[in-house]
Amino acid sequence: MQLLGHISPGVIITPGFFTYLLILSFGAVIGILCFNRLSKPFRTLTQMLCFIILVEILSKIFQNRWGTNFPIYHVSQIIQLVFFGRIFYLLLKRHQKTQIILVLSAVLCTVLSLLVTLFYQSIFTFPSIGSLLLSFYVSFSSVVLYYSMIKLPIKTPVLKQPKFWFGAGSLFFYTITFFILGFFKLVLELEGKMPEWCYFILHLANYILYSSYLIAIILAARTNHLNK
Amino acid sequence: MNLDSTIPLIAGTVLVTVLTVFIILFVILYKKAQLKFELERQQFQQALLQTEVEIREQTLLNISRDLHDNFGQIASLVKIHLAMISKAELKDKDRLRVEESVDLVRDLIKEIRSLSTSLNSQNIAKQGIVGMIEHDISRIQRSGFIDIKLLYKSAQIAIDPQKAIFLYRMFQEMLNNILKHSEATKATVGIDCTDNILTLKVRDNGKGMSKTRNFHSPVNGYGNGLLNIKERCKIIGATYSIESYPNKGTFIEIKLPT
Repeated sequence: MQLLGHISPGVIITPGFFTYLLILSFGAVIGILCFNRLSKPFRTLTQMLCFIILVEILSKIFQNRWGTNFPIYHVSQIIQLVFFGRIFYLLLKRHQKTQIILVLSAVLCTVLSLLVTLFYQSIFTFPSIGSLLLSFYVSFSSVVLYYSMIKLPIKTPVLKQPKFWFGAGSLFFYTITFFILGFFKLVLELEGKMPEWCYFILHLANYILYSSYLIAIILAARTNHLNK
Repeated sequence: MNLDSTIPLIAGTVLVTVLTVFIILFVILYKKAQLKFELERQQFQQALLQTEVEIREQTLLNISRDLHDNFGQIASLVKIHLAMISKAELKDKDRLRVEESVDLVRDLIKEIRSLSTSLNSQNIAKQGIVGMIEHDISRIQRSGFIDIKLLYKSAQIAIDPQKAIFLYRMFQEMLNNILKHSEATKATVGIDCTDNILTLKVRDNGKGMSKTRNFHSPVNGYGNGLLNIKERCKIIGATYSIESYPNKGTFIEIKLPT
């Protein structure tokens, strides 16, 4: 599960992780089945979900084989930045100036994340800075996406717009992640380990994230089908 | 749970609450923005329609003047020339032809004047809407294509001149539909003003329209006129209803608060 790389060796699948994987896989499968009906941003989202499944499988293999999956997360943060950069670029086609700002931000965060991984944080440590950059970029871009939606509203009710669900899930999860990472060091110093409620919030946030993405993909497939 | 882990827990709860409130606020703001956008779009459409109508009226006025000034004059000149031909020098056959030609040109001048009158919306102020409708119906009656009756209680109806023009053009559109598409042999036009509501009713005994068809969707040119009527009703605040069944004719009613 994202940000829970520090799981003791031998533990392969917990019920929480299984539920998370189920929701994630469901979203990816629906996206693949409706791929031709999806618009470009949601095709990219489907590709990203497939990538995340691959990351989770690889992280389990790494965890069991080498006792750590942090290297996987270092790489996946950077690739996810690229995916999100493309998704937000495609979602904001009607707002050229905003598009440029978000693309440049994505490039900046990707480069910084890469530099941190190469020169600052070892790939065998938790990629906290990379995760912070990713969380900040996605939270910021989601707020910008919402702002652009208010500036140019369309007739479709907001709860039936795939953009809304994509933004809601992303904002929810990545804002929580951003703050947890901010408190991460403090909590570790106070408690010595991550407390259970922290895992609970991350579980919940993951469920919300991928459920929202699933809803977004279903709505995107339906909208495009109706528009044909 | 000690105080040191309670604080982050509270902070986490506050964060989740803030996020939820933010998303709810976004939904509310978006709905407001949608309503505002929809209102602006409708206002823009109305303004566009109004401009279209003004351009059309100006064009019709120009055509009306050209008809009257140019064609009318030429037809009058032809009549004068024909009248100047010395009939005494002509054979009987030729004299008859000349007299028929004079009659035809006289009818032509009448039709040109009549058409010019109906194209010129400024005449509505002089003759009133009932007068203008009556004038058009008389012109159609003369052609003999269809039998149209006009029913009204009072020839003088007080109505805003701008709305009167719109109503008159809508009547012309309905008449046009009857002549071009309905294959009707009879039609009735009723105009009445009761309780400050002007009601215009047009009924024909033509072929009607299929129930399954969208009356306002242009198909083979049929529907554009009805769409125009619907749009014009929106502009002047009139209500519009249509009933039509295959082989049972069509009935259109427009109600306009005066």
